[in-house]
Amino acid sequence: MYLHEFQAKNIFKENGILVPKSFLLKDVKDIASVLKFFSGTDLVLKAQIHSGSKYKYGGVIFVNKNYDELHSAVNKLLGKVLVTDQTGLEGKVVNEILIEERLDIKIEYYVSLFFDRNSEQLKFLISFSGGSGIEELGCTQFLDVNVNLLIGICDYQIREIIFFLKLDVKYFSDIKNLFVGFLSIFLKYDLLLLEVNPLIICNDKFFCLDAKVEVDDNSFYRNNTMKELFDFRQENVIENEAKKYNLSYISLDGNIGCLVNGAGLAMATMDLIKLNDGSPANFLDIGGDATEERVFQAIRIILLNKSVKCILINIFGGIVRCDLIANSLVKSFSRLNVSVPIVVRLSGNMSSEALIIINKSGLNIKTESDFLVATKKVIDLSKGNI
Amino acid sequence: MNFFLENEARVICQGFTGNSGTYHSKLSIDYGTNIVGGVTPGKGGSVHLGLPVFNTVKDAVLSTSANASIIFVPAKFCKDSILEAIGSGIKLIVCITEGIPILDMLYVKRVVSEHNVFFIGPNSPGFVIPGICRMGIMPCDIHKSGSVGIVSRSGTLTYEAINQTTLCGLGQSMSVGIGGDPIIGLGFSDMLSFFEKDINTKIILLIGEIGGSAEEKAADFISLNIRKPVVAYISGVNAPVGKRMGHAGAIISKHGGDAESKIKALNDKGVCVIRSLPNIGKVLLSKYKSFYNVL
Repeated sequence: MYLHEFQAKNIFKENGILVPKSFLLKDVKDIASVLKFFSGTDLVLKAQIHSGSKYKYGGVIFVNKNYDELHSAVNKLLGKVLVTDQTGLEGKVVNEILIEERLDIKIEYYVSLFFDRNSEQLKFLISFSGGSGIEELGCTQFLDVNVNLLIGICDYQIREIIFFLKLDVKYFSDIKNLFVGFLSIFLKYDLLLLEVNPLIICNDKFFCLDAKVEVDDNSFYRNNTMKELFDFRQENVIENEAKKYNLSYISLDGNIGCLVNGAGLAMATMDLIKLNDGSPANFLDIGGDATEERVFQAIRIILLNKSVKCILINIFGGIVRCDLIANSLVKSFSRLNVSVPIVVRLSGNMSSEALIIINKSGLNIKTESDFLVATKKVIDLSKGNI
Repeated sequence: MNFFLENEARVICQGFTGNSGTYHSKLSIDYGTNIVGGVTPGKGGSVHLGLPVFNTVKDAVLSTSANASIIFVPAKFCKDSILEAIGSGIKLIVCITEGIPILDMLYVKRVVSEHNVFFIGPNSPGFVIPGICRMGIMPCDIHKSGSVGIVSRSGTLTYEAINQTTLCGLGQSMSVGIGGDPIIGLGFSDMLSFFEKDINTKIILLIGEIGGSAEEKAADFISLNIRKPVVAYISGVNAPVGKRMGHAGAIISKHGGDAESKIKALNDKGVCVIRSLPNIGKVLLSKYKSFYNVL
């Protein structure tokens, strides 16, 4: 789960890391308070959406210190939909604007701390040309600093950072406090990523001008406050609905709804559809305990996507019994009044019994035990060939 | 290297009296696995499925000489359970649990590497040596003793593959799910070298998926160390960037992890990659026949 910039900066502040003075604007009516809060400094307005590259796509507006453009700048962002290269075409709604005093930038640094899958350890990545567009700077020189969780950050590593960034040694304790602070935040809140771009020096102090934080969803049981920070308005509506029932669902842009047990098999099903010139409308893993209620919710959620023209249900019955799935399907169909055609492929545990149950139901469900034949059948349906 | 202990395995189950622990322990016992007891803190002294229950792994090891453990403990207690197993001298650990926080696994992995422990998972379906041993949650009746060594990051997808190798007549020497998480114990290369040395294994099936670079590393490892034929399948060719596809580890990042790069890496090292899942059995059979000159 990603946090908003203002949420991440609140955490930084609480942990003694400097960020610019700021005001979170949620309502145009509060502009008067903004004017009272700041006095005579240039401002920067930042749309709070879950996306990078905001500056490039108009999500960041500078306002000079006489504030006559503040009103129009707020109106350009608040309540508007912002589309960037990371939001998808539907974009994301700006519900909050983070208004900050504009600090004088002389030199920018990039710092991130993340879990590196390749080496299976935590790693700092540091570079001395920060600012937006770091993603494109593939050739920039980075300093890697590995963190041993049992030891923490060592002084020699702080020295490496200082020499790499060509900083004066007088900043040793500032840099040490900063990096120790980043690491302790990372561990305290179970993060997967903490990124500051840029980090700057202003009046001899280090400030984080931006903050990007990703939290490990699996840690919510010990991190309740993090879970509450989740902004569901930033996510796909159907994916949110699926989350309520612990179904793993991802929207795609095709027209064949997919219901599969197991994440690997669900991906393989999407791939087989594509390989045969069809187009999946979603990824959905119903998981190991495919109870009647879960089957019902899964079909209901698949049908929330109005592009769905037909559904492929692919169940490999291992521990899950296919006959139980078949009964759940038949019941769900009558409850939901399903009007799109369905192809069901059931294989494995109790699958012949399951096929009898479905065929006897008289519902518009085609059964097939062969994976490829079932896939081709549903693709034909999606193209109106049957 | 007999790290699966085969006939010598004396298995305990952590989380023995819970729903999954009970259900799967019973199936494994019926399959012939040598399960000698279980651990549920607070229920020590009782009997479950006709076997003794202990409060601690140490107690279980002392009275049963257990050397292997299968873990069904919920994610929030799982780090502790794994450390308990390692600390009590267990040598083979299979962890089924899904949803363990990454930070927990970072610590666990460190401890695993400091001890002489074979750790499979987490978020793994376990393994089956057909007719001999089942540790995990794989369905029982799809296996057939034979020649394919299967190693996979997935669950049901693996069952699909196992089933195809059974139907095509080749059968399996062993099928193991190494887990769908970003940090796992035994990896592709560990299993590949095991299969290379294992006399029952004649051909290897590697099932990968998007996320990380395990398949790329496996490709390098195969070209240097594996002489038996290897066939691969990679799922998630059409997965969108930045979305977690069910498994915690199945995510394409801006730094890579997409399926096509993995397929290319394997192809470049001469590994045959199957594009169409239903063809797994067919392709394995024809590779097997051409490699061993069988008609």
